[in-house]
Amino acid sequence: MSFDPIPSVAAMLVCDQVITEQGTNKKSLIGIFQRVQSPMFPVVIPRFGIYVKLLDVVGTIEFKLRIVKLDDETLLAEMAAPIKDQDPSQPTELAISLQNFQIPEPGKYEFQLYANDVYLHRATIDLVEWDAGGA
Amino acid sequence: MAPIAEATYQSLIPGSLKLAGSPEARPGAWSDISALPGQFQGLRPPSRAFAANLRFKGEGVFAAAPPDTILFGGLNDPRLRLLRPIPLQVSREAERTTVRWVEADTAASGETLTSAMEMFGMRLRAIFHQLADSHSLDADRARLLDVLTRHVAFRSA
Repeated sequence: MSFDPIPSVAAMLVCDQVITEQGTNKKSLIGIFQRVQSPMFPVVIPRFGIYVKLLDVVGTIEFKLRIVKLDDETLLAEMAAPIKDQDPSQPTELAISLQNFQIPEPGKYEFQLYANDVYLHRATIDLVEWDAGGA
Repeated sequence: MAPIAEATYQSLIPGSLKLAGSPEARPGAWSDISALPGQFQGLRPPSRAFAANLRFKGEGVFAAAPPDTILFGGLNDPRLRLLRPIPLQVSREAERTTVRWVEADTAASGETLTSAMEMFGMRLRAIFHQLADSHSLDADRARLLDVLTRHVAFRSA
């Protein structure tokens, strides 16, 4: 029985925006961050991006992004979509753009990437309450 | 139930950078760091990129029940390739989560499921490199290496 190799994550970063340059396909990651400060919760993050560089994507895989609140590992959201291999000898890049992301309370939140239900990688952000009236 | 976010995604091919020329061909060109390099005007075949609108399911749709098993693929070693997913048993005790690969009798723990899997990946990489670099193995270690090599291979192989 033969298996396709499991895709491997070379990079997974959270940033303000992923820009793809037309013509060259070069990506620019604007404002890479891990910490979000807000004076109040719940809060809505209007827009941010997740960049993933994958190796060994063979055939068509279904990738899944799960958003988990880490303190109790509650699954907040899940999205799934197919990726079709382009050239198995070349990396595949994934640019995910999220809008109006609602964060219920401070804490660590994790973006977990799966391929065909196989866990691949994670990226974590910290949501912290910022005292707007403080020094 | 209202979605907690909206999302779009694109699957893309890597970018290209075409330099203006070699130092021999254009003396001084490489020292001109104030100029942006020339860019390759490549084509992006339509079949190689796509985008779709996705919506998240709302909070509360998913139960917080932890899985009893999970398929692991997070080796995270550029020298290695995972040939097939590794089935892990998941258990929780107090504030710790433990994942165990029964066939290889290898386990790791962490505060969360993903931190346990990260530790498991580190342990798996260390064991694989140690065994693969060994010239003589006893029966138990040879059996373990046999199990590992059915799942893990060097990328150059």
